[in-house]
Parts: sequence; structure tokens; C-alpha cells
Amino acid sequence: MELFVQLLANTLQIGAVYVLFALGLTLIFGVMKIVNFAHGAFFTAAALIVTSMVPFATVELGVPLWAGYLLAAFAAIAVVLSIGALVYSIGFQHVLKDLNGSFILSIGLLLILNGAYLAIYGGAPRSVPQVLPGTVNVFGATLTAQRLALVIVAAVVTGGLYLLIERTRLGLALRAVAMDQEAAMLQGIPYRRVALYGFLIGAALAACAGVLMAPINAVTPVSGDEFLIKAFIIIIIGGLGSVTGAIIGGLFIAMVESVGGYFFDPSTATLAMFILVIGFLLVRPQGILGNVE
Amino acid sequence: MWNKSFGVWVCVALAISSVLFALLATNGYYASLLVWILTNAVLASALRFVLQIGELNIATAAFFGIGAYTTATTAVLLGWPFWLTLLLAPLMAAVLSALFGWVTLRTKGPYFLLVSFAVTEVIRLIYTQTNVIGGNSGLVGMFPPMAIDAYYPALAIALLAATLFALYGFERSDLGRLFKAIENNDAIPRSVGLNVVFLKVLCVVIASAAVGLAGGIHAYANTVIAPSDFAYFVAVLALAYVKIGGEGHPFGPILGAAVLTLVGQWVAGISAWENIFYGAVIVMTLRVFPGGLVGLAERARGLVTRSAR
Amino acid sequence: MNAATSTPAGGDVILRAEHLERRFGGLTAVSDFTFELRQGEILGLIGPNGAGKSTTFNLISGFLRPSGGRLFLKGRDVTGASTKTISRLGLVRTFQHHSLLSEMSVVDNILIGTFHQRLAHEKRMEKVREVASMTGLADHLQIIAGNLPHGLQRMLSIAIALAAEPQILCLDEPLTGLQGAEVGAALELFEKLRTTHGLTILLVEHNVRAVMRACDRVIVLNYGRLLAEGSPEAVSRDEAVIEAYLGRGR
Repeated sequence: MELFVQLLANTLQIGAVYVLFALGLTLIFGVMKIVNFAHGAFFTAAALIVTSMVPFATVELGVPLWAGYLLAAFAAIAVVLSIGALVYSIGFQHVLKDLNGSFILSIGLLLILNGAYLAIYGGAPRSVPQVLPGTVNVFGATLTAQRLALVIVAAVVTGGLYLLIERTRLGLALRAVAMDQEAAMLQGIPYRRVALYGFLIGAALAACAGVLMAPINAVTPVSGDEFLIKAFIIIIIGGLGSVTGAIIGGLFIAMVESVGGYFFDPSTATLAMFILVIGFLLVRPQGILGNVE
Repeated sequence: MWNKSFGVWVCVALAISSVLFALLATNGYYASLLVWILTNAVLASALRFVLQIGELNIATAAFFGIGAYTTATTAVLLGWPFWLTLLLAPLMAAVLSALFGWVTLRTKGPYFLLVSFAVTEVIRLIYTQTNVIGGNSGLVGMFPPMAIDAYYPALAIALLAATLFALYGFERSDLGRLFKAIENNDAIPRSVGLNVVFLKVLCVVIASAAVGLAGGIHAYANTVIAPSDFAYFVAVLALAYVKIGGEGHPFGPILGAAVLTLVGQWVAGISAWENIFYGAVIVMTLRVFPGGLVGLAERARGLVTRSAR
Repeated sequence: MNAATSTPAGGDVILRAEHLERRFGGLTAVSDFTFELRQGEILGLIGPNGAGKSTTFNLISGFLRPSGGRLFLKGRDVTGASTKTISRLGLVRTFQHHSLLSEMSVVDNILIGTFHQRLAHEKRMEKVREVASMTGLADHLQIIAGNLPHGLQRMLSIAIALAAEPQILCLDEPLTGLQGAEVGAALELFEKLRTTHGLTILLVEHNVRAVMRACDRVIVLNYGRLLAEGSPEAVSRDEAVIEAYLGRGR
């Protein structure tokens, strides 16, 4: 029982970040029909900014650690949104619905951004002091307070996104565009503006993941890219463009990883994940919730 | 018509002079640079070959690696003869890519792109976790036999150039016509009784055999291989060569590989700026002249003939 | 199942669908649809929009698997068979939309139809020229298909199918967008294919008047079910058919 709860807790911890990361990717795919390989760069930018803003705020401004972290979080999300708007306007808006064009463009942007991070921050891993010290005991499983907070914040953000998509006019427009862009335009939905909003929301989700991970793992200029392959596996399983699929897929992959990692070792877990993907493709080439063409 | 065969003859002449250059060159650096350019040209041409059926195959990088590891493993660990190890590289790549294609080519577009990406990274992970083949540090010590050693660059260039001609030949054949038909509208070939999945797998197998051979050649040319040499990034660079050289023409990827490999030699070593440089070149090409260098040349020729009239 | 049952109205049964059914999720596009196609006839399949005509086409050509029922082609059970099997048994179809290779030349389009068999290139080209002259495309071989005038594009999609040497030709809305004289020419071609080449034709068409003119027999689908079947005269007098066509405006 205790083991079960511990594995469940691990699954939620890992899954929370996967879900945020994959949600952004799948949302951008749904609206723009492109695969953004530079998505990890948003994550990295946010995490790097947190690592430099927290010391600045606590030392130079003299605010307490938690306030410094919150300040850094807002700054990080703001900067990522600006980067997002910039890369959208110089690049992505010209390759909407062009899979190969957007792939190569996003790779080009990824190279530029990673190079810039490397030039500014150097290659050494950077870290942030623990924001929430201590551990919490939940049903016999031990969790650090920080990781518990991560799960809660990620759940709140995911819930917020869900409400945004299901309950708001913007959400309706996003869904309409994802389903049938031409029909949506005929209904008077401004496609380009909706695409921009979808892109920025996706970028902000990656930034949230970066902000939440910064105090937990050390950050390097390529931190975000490590999530990319897993996020791809998640959205293959969940179905490209499906929000619910990304949530289920993210938690599922996190479960495979934490259970497999406990009983075997991490590389076996990765292989297991891969075999699952192949199995999925054989049975359902369009993912759990993807639509048949 | 005259124009087309003229272009082919120019390429044959280029290939022969490259081989002669490698035979006569006193400085080994230039010969091995030429091998590296042609290796990249094969990678780019193979990527473009699969683009004929409309799919972006990131696993081009994986089959390059499989070729290299096949040759390196059989040469270093098993001590098999040189020619056999070189022959096994494309064979192994072809067999594994048939399996890969059979499973993954039921998907297309973004799914195929992502799956081929995942396969590439997982195969790289497998290398790093397998101690027999050197784990993270890879394999060392693939040397051609003494009798061949001095001529190896010339041999490599000849084989790589032959591979490029073979890919071109397939593209010009009826098979190439079928690949284009699949890309254009796959319902039509299906409706007249053709097995489209089989043809797609065949396309991937041909391209993978080509990069497999290039991988085997690379193993001997470099004498050292490591898992990180076969990350998805290899395919990204190959796509950059295709885009910058020009996707619309078989010579595009070769030109792109030559230009970017040479420029890459020049900016190499300053890693942050190297990334920024490649990134900027890719973004600029895509935005400013989407037809690549060949497209630019064709547009220039169009202007000249129009003004001549 | 003995498919070679002789029927008084035409030749032997060459294609037979029994209780054909296809569901998409909760939606039933075709249900309990039984019909037969006889050697050498021109059979019309009509029905209001959304009646299940395209689905039926996809089912009999192997592009969709039926959810229920059976399909026999020349006496062989081909339920759930691949497009390749069905096409090589002699049933070849055309498409209503995206009916050709728009980026390739006319000659390449028709050539694609010949690749189901091994032939020398010269033999292939002979076939291409023969089919092209039959469909009025002989003077346009080098044009990119997407640049052809609309009427010739419709003809090209038929030419591709003919190059595959079918015994049964299934035409999906071949007359859409054709002008008056072109419709007449197309109908003449169908008649010629039947009489001089011995083809059996299944024709799905919106243009009911043309169907009545060209076909020996007509079947009517409505809401995925068989509504009526018979000679053009009988069908056009059928109360249920008139109701279905006129009633859809309400």
C-alpha cells in the first residue's frame, strides 16, 4: 500500500511537468497544425530566468526568498511571452499549416535560442535555493513540500486551461480552429489572431513548467530539450491536438517511468515506453483520442 | 533533354575529378573534407528521397548510425574482413528500415515525423546503454586494411558518388514516378491496384540503405564513432542542406551539403555562435529564398532568358 | 455462394453485395444494402446528398471495410479485401474529388494506371496513347493535369482507371461540372466502353436525367438504405423515390 502511494506520488510529480509541457505542444499543433521543436526553448528560458532572478531579488532587492521566486516567475513568464510573440511574428505566422517548413523553422529558432542561452548563461548547470523546505507525509508516502506544491500548481494551471478551452469564447475559437480552420474562418473567427493566442498560451504553459522545475532540478541551456522526446511520445499516444489526450498520455508515461524505474532501471523504462508507442501505432495510428482522417 | 543529360555528365566529371583529387592530394585534410561533404550529401539526398513520398524521415540519422555501428562492430569486435563489414552496413540498415517502415508508415505527416524522431533518439539511447559496443564512448579503431589505407578517401568518394547517382537513377525511374504519385494523391495509385504502403516502405528502405552505406564509410573514415554522432540532429542538418541547396532539384541537397559543410568548417569550435549561425542561416533561407540556392539559380536564369528575348 | 447465377435482365452477376453495412461511430452510413451488378450492364446508383453513395463506393472498392454484410466479386468473397486485391480482380473506381495527380503530367497520370502489371516501357506508352485517344486527351499528354480544363480533368480520371484495364468501372460523379455537349460525349464514351470493350459500369451521379438516359437499371439509396430498384422508367415513377427527392427541401 505504502509502495503504491509512493509510486502514485512519483507519477504525479513527474507527470505534472510532462502534462504542462505536452499540453503546450499539442495546443500549438491543434491550432497551427505545426510541430514546434523549439518548444523546449520556452521551458529553458523560463527556468534560466528564475535561476538568475531569484539571487538578484533576494540579494539586491532584499526581498524574502518566496517573494523573490514569485517575482522571478512573473518575469520569466513575461519574457517567454515576448520571445513567443517575437518568434511568431518573424517566423511561425509564415508557415502556418506547413509541416516541413515549420519543422525546419522551429529547428532554426531552437539553434538560435539555445546558442543565445549558452552565450548569456554559459553551459554550467545552475540552481535555485529550495523555496519550500521540509517534507510532507501523505498516506504514508513521503513528498518534499516543494514537489507537492509543484503538483498542486500544475493541477491548477491544467484545470484553468481546461476551463479556458471549454468555457470561454477564446476557448471556443481555439477548438473551432483546431477542428476545421476554414469553417471557423467562415464563421468570422479571426484565424491569425486565434493562432497567435494559441501559440502564446502554449509558450506560457512551457514557461510554467520551467518555473516549477527550476527549484527542483539543476538548469542547463538544453534542459527543455530533454522533455521534448517524452512530450512527443505523450502526444503520439494521446493524439495530436487533443488536450485530454495530452493529460492522460502525460500521466500514463509518468506512470510507466516511475513504476518501470522502480522495478527495473530508467533506461529499461524508456525502452518500455518506446515499445508501448510502437504497440499503440499498430493498434491505433491516430492516438487514443485522435480523430480518424 | 539535352540540358538534363548535360547536367548528369557534368556531375560524372565532378565525381571523377573528386576521386582523382583524393588519389593525388598530398594534404590528407582536403581529401577527408571531401569525404565528409559527400557523406553529408548522401544524408541530405536520402532525406529528400523520402520527401518524394511527402514524409520527413528523421530516422535518416538512425540508419546512418546503424550502418556505422554495423561496420564498426563487425570490424572491431568480430574482426571480419573489410569488404564484408562495408557490405553489411547498407544491408543491416535496409533490413531494419523495412521493419521500421512496416510499423511506422501506417502513420503519416506529423505522426510519422514524431515517431521517426522518437525512434532515432531511442536507438541512440540503446547505444549508450549497451556496454559491448562501448556505451557512451562508442567504438574506436576502425582502420581499412594496409593495402587500401592510402586510397581509402578515393574509394569512399567513389562509393558515395555512386550512391548519389543511384538515388538519382531511382528518382528518374518509374519507381520515382510512383513515389511522386503517392505524394501528390495516394488514393490514385491505390485505386489502380498498387500497394502504397509497400511502395512507401520500399522508398524508405532504398534511402536507408544509402545512408547505411554512408555510415559504414564514415566509420572507417573517422576511425571513431559515438552515440552522439547519430542524434536526431544529423537529420536536422541534412534537412538544412536540402532546404538551403534547394528541395526542387536532385542537385540541391548536394550543393547545400557542400556549402554548409565548408562554412561549418570555418565557424566550427565557437559552439554558441556556431548554433546561432546555423540557426540564422536556416531561418533566413526559409524566409528570403525558399527555393534554396538551386531555386535562386533557376530564377536568375529565368531573368536572363527573359531579358534576352 | 454461386455468383454465376443467370438473371433474365442481363448477364451473369459479377458483383454482389449482401446486407452491406457501415457505421462511423454512432452514425450508420449504409445499412442492410443488398444489390447486384450484372455483366455488361450500366447500373446507376442515385440518391439525395448524404444517402450513402460515396460510402458504398468506398466499401465495394476496398477503401473502407464494411462493418457488416458480405461482398462477392466474380464469385469470390472479397469482404474486407484490400484495394489491391479488388482492383486486380478487375474492379477499378474513380473519385469525385481529388480525382487525379494534379502536379503530374497527363501522360504520367495515365502511366500510373499501367503499373499494376509488368510491361516494357513501349507497351506502356502504347496503352497510354490508346486510352488517351479514347478519352480525347491525345493532344494534351504533356500538360500538367491540374492545368487542364475541367471537362478534360474528369476525362483524365476515367483514363487513369481505364489504363488499369478494368472489367468493372465504378464512376463517382463523372459528370459533375460538365457542360451540355461534354455530358453527351461522356455518355457516348460509357456506351462505347460497354459495347466495344465489354465493360460493366456502375455509375454514381447527381445528374439524374443523365443517369436515366445512360443506365439499363437504377438503384436508389436513401438514408443508407435501398429505396427502390428497377428500370429507369419504373424508378422515375416510384412514389417513394419522388418523395425522397422532393421531400428533402422540406
